[in-house]
Amino acid sequence: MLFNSIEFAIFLPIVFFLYWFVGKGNTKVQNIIILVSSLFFYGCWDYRFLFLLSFSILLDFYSGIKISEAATPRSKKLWLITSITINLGFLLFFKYYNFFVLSFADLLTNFGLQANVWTLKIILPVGISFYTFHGLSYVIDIYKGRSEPTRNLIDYSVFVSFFPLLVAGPIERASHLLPQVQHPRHFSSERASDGLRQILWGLFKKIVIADVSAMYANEIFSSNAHLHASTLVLGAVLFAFQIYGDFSGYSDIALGTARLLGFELLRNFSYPYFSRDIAEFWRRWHISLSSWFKDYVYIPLGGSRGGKLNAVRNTFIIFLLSGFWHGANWTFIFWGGLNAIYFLPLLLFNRNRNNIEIAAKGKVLPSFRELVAILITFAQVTFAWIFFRAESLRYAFNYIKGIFSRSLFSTPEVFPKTQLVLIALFLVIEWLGREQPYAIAGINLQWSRPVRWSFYFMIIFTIAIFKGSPQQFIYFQF
Amino acid sequence: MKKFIARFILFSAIVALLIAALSANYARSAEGNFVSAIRFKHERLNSFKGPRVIFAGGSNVAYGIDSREIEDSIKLPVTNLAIHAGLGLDFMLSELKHSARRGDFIFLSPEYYLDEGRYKLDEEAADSYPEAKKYLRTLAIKDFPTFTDNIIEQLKTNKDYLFDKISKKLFGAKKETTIASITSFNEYGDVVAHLNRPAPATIKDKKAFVYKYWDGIQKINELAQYASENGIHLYFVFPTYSRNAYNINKAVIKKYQNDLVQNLKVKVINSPEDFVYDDSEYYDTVYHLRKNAREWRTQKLISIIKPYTTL
Repeated sequence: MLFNSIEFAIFLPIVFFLYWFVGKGNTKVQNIIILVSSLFFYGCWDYRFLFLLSFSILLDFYSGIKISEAATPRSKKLWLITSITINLGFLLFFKYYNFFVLSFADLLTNFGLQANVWTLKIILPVGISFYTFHGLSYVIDIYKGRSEPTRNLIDYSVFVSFFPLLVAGPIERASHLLPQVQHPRHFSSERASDGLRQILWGLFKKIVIADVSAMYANEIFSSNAHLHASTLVLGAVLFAFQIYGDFSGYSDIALGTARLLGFELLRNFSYPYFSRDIAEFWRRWHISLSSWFKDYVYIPLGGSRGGKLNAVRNTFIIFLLSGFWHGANWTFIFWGGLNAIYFLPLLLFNRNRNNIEIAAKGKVLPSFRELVAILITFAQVTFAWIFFRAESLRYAFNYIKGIFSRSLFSTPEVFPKTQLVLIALFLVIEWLGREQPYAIAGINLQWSRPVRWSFYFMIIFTIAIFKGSPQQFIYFQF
Repeated sequence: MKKFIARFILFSAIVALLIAALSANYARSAEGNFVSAIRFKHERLNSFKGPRVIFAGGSNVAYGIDSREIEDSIKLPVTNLAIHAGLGLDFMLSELKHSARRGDFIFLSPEYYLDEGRYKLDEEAADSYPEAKKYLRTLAIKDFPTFTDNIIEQLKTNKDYLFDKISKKLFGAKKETTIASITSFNEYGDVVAHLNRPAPATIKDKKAFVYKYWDGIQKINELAQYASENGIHLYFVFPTYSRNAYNINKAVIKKYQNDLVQNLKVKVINSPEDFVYDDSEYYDTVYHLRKNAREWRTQKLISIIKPYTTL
């Protein structure tokens, strides 16, 4: 059940009605409604993996209690290690088994040895990377004494399986979401309207920006061998907007849906393409994953303590892990490594926290220097996306080789004028709304109702007439 | 809460009204558009007495065969009924059921995993050729997405019409570069307008299939039953497909082929590899052949179908 499908358009109002009318004022009933809806939502993807999800929930729920009740540090640690090992074991098996086996076989072949490898036809359970990370953060936080375990299985199950975030995040923390699950939630029409507005903006990003850009990007990436360099550059730029529209659009729909039900989820994107350096980009892109790696990998490894060398080592580790988290392919690892290399000069010269506030805060236009910095960062990010998009490293290098040729200044063979105009309009709206949680959040305060409604209608109309052929959300595969 | 729901309903009602107004079919399908070729194709088909050869399928057949050459070779009147995969398998099969008669030879060559297509296109065809109303599916509640697709397509049509009008007024008429009109066909029903044009830089519709048992098999079997009861010779022919796209989907196509061979109640007379050519031989999509490959395919097709068309 995709967020941009008719099935979801039917599912959500039913859940909304049951939740606010049947479960009115009764948090327990509301939580049961959310849990049943979430399991139904997940079962629509593949009901067979409901077992795996349930097992993961039960494992972390009981591990949390056992860690908290453990009498000795040793048994606390034992429960933590058990939980982490089983969680990561499932993740490694479902997501990475074939990758490791085939990579090992390739390695042996390079040494002239013939390997008969045993690969499995494994289906990747939707959302496994996300709910595994939910569970891990829960047990680690309890172990570290940062939070208390819940003894209510329904509450914990809602925390892990809450349908808006179940399949592609944001990756929540127990300390943020669990109290919201446990406490009464009251309907607020302002918050619900805001939720609907954010859903609408997310749909626009997904259907108009991402899906249409995908049509052209796919066309260019699949015919790259015959195309001018200028077309290849355009393909990479279109993919940059595809992945941004796709994932941030998904996150907007998730956050908006949660807000309709009275929840506030963690923000996942904050105008990353207006970043002035790569460090700022990573504070604005997939924020919940970056902060997860920072809190649960980077800081435990020592973070930036212990000198520059340690900081560099730890930075490389989290970028490579982040790349690997995205998928079992060398392209993702290379993508992570490339981002670490981009990050390195900023880290070495202590410039990685230069740009904390959004660009041109309080002004209409950026300074020339800011504009150049934004464009350079976008170019770096787009270059790295080529590895993310490519099927193999060889493919990515061939694509890049094609870019650095004389046809770079020729007219692109594929030139989607309408889509480029729509992307430009989208960027203008994002720029004007960049100090808000999402680009059109502020119009509620500034515009009268008729103007606001006309604007919403324009968005709906634009979605209807410029919509591309529906594409799976990219991050569902992770 | 009540206020919120009331406002939401009011907003939704206004949107629905505006969309209804903007998506009304103000001008019936333009005479002479691509699918309106259905009319003259049937006029040709109906002009023959005695056994006829009918090629059916989507645009892979429309763009990719030389019917005149086939007719000269097999000495039977040939009509290429194929127009567009978007018409959908149901429409095509219904069209064949209503058009074929005893003694006819039908070579059906649908694109891989051809589905129900676009209802709007079926309606456009029926606008141009009223007889085709019989081929239309009866829509049920489960076809709700079809209703919404229709509305969106009509919105797009109205938008294009308006933009074209404004653009013509501002910049004058543009040179026609698309293959979107009835004039693209020759008298046999083959698309020929693209044959002497330079091909676009990229070819579309290159996608990876996910294997599934094709529900078209059951639908074709229903036609097969009708054909066998009425003395019509029905055969299945694999479509043409670009080499790159074929290589991407080789494993899935193999399973698709096995399913067809094992379950189809009509003879499958070729294999998927027969009409696979290099990508450079395709015009704008992985199914549309250019001049040379169209000729190669025609030659090969003649050798494949000849044994089955001997009276």
